[in-house]
Amino acid sequence: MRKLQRIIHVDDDESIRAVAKVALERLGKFTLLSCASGNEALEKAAEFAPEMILLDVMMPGMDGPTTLKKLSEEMDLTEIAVVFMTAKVQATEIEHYKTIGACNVVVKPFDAMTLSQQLEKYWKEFNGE
Amino acid sequence: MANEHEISIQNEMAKLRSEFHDRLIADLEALVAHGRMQDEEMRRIETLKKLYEDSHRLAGSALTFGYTDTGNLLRRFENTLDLIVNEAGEIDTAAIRKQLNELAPAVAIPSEMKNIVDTLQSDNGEGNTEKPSDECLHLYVLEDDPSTSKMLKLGLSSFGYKVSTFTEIEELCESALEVLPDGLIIDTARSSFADQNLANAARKMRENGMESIPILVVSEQDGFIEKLEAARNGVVAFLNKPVNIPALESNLEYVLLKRSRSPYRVLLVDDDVYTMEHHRLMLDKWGIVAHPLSDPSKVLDVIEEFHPDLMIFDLHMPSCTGIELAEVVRYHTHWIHIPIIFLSSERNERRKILAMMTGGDDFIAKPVVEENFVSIIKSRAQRARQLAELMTRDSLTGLLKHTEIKERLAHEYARAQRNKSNLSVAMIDIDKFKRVNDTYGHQTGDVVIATLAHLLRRGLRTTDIVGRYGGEEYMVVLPDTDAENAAKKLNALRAEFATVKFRHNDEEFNCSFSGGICQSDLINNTDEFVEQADMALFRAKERGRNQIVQADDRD
Repeated sequence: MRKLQRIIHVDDDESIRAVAKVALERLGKFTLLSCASGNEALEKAAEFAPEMILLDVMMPGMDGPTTLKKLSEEMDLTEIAVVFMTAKVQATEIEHYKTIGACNVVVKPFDAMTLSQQLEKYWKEFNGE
Repeated sequence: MANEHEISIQNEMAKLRSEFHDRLIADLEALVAHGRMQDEEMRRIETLKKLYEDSHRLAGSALTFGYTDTGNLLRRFENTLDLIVNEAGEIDTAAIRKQLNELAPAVAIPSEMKNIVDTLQSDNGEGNTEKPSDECLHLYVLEDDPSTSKMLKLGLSSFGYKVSTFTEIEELCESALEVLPDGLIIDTARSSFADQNLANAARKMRENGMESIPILVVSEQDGFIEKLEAARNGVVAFLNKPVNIPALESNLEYVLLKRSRSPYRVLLVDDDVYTMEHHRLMLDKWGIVAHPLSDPSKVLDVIEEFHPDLMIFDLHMPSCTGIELAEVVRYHTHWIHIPIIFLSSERNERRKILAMMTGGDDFIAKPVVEENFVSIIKSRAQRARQLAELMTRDSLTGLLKHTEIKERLAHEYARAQRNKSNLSVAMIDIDKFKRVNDTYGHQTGDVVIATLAHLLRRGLRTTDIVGRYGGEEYMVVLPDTDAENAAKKLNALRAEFATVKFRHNDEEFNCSFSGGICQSDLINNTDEFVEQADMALFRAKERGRNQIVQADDRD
């Protein structure tokens, strides 16, 4: 299985980005690219070549699902695990996100200490393990 | 080493948390201010959509940082707006106002607490006030093991904290009704907590008015579950037993110092004194100190004296433009971290971009909207301070870095010359430090270095300036002090340091330091100043270490 190393995190809230940065870079030892908006992610995603994209669902301007759609038009996402982050946790919603291309969902508020493990787990599942 | 890594991550988290605390207050204030809008404006879909987005964003981050009550209130507000914005629900402005008002107490409580701490230890950053730095911070310790309890009390008292110990949470809460502590330390592993776990204790503390008081945990368990539990309960630091007192102290210092931030300082430059006064009053109302300046040619001197966190230049002034002024200021690279914001009624996009290109950081249109104005300034100033801190402070000790302390020395020397006052400089070096490192390892060596740093900072006045000059070498600048008095102070600290017990595994050991002092009337420039103090330090080492020698004290 490929190793999970490069992750893009898209969230409009700078405090959340800062926490995720500590959680994923310092605790998880991943290489992280933080983006403040869907547009920023669109600009940088292809060049960064991530294994995973962590995408906030509700953002002003372009929301998570729209960002995902646009990303899929610009680059090949079949090898990239897309994980949504959302406060809404109903099972039907999680299923909905899966149908539009997400492999799983991180529920907000997330726990910074365990975020890395959670993503590793999703990565394994994504790779059929 | 893993432990050190964890502590550093916890420190980073604590730092983020404390930054978020400030942001939360500012954002809530801005949100609540919408309650004063006219009905007509509130009914506009753009307004409602913005409120919806703002409350969604803030709810998410508040909950992530453990502000459960505030987060839930925000979530509820978000849901109300969600119905209106996304499901075409009915707009009930009275209900919106009511919910906004409910958020107001959440705003008031933390900032009120902050103010109390601020007044307790406010230091305008000027260092002009003569004030002992050892005003006591009060800690409550929840611990039912008498020996650990005693150890914490003794250990932390030696660092200048006032410590009250409790064995029951109820007891602690009762005491908090009388005097609120500045920090809480909880031992989670004790038997009597088996049925009253951390979540329970944290909840009781919140219910008894301690919501914004930082909680530190000491624990016998080092497992993931315990840390997760701690993180979920808003614990700012997690330490293992047996407790390493200097490590605990450095965590405390970090957490408590962050809370006692002095007001932001803003320099206003505008030829229109009435507008400027209007802005000054606006900022003053929000606890920001603003210095008005109508003559741009004086800007360099004023920055030097006033130490602003942020500068606001009017774009159009008769003697020079704000852009020109920014260029002049940016020639001085050591002020590069101070943001410059331009103020103008100019709405032309091209001019705006030009303004950005020349060292400016932001652009605010006149007339300013109070909430926006204040929140932009607050967040910019906060960021600038963090940056300045990173630039100037040594990460292990929190002391000034080499170049910074030398600069401060030059500054103090010039001031002493001007005022014809005394000034002393001390060079301090830990004795046989290499042996500590070789015998006990670098990690233990770092504890020794950090401990002496804390001791110096606590034992000296806020007007004294302490820097880490080299590996185990420190420089202390003591204004208005002759060599005699400087020696007296440092000798007391030297004696205290020699009694501090350090521990490596099961082995205990002591350290000592030597110091050399020079007084300003013996020298002609700052280089000579340092040289003389260094030579005195050298003599102290020669004479057998663990002593203070003055520059004019020759054999």
